[in-house]
Amino acid sequence: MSASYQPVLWNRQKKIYDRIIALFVLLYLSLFISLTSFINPEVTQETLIIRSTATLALLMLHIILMIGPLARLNTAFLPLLYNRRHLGVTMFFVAAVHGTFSIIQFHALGNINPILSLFLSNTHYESLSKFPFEIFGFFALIILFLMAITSHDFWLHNLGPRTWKTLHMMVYAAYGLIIFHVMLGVIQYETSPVLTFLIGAGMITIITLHIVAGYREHKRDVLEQSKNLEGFQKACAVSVIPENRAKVMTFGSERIAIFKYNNKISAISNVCKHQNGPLGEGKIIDGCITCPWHGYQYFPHNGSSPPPFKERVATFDVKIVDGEVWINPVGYPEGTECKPAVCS
Amino acid sequence: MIKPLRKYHYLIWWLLAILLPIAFVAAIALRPPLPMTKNAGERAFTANIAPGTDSTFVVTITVGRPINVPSCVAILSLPQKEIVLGILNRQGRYSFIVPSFDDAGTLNLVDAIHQKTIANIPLSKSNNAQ
Repeated sequence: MSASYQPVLWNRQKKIYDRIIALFVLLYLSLFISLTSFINPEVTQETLIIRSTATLALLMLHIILMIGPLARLNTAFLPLLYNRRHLGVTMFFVAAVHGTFSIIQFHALGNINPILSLFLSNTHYESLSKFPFEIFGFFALIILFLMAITSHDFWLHNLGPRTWKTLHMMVYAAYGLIIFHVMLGVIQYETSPVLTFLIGAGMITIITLHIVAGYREHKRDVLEQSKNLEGFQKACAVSVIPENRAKVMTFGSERIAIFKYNNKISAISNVCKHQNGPLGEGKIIDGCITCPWHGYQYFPHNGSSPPPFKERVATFDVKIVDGEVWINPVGYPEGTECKPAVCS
Repeated sequence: MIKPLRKYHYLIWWLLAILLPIAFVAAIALRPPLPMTKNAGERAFTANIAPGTDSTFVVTITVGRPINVPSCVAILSLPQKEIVLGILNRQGRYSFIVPSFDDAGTLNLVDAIHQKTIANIPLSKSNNAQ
């Protein structure tokens, strides 16, 4: 959370996260290159770089795509989400090394532009097994590039969370393109079934996680709130809300986080202004609701970030009747003071 | 995420859940058959020499296994001279016409890039084989 832009707002957690990423990348590349050189001593250095970075980028992309749904299904995975963008940018750099070396190795020695050669050297567009698979990788790399250069709060702020999130959801298209790139490329000539099995297992795992997490969210979204009392809708019993935590309820088109703290109940929008993180899955720290994704904070009674920060979310009227929390789903403008309901 | 994005997210993954497995299976099912890389029953190279015209012979070389070196040059080595016959690219039968000669010769197959001898096959006009 910051009031001004800095290249990276370092803290202890981010440093630990990045050290683990760097260690993982170095360890993987060292192991891959050592083992491949031992098994196949005739392999060239260029081939080693192309293959090691290809497999590493693919593995990192699988990890990145699993973090989101895992964090939705189990909060124990939330720490992985905290600095996921650094993992994503690292993955782009690894993929870019693979792409650059592949273009140099296979397309830079002719008499036409290497990028043009990528599209013209193989024109078997009618054949599945001979399809110019490199094109899929090229477009996937373009998407990853766009994501990497906009992976900063400057772009998040200027594009707006919705546009930014939509742009970054293109990673799913990139994943599809990369699966095509691998399946129509190396798998067509691979004699060992190991790589095919790993790609298939990774694909099934990622799809299953996203469908299961998506289904859970979808079920919550379609829950009907039937009871209505003078514009207020029944939410839940006070007793089901843990202290300094929230119960998230869906009213109409959006979710509201109902927090209990200091014998009081307040309700704010569940959507964090930073990256649309789920505020209701965070907790109250130092009197502020703290987003579980990146630690953005808001006061529960007015939805405003503590000074000097300027983020604000909508607040909602709350009342308690017979131990039940009732919410007026028509929210106040962002940052509006709203009197908390007092628990009896 | 806000509700519309959650909805798109859910739909995108259902779409990928249908498309990607289909592409995965199709890519495996339509793989071209892998070329045979071993033919244990065949000898790598056999050579044969037979009279052509009054002043020539025909050297026939049969490559029985895939050539696994980047360059394979056939050279007929005679006591007086060496005659470069040509390049052997792949499995198959190759014929080269050479001027007639009196003595026995040797067919040398050389990897010209790495400067290594691949095979030496003695040739004589009466009995010619590897």
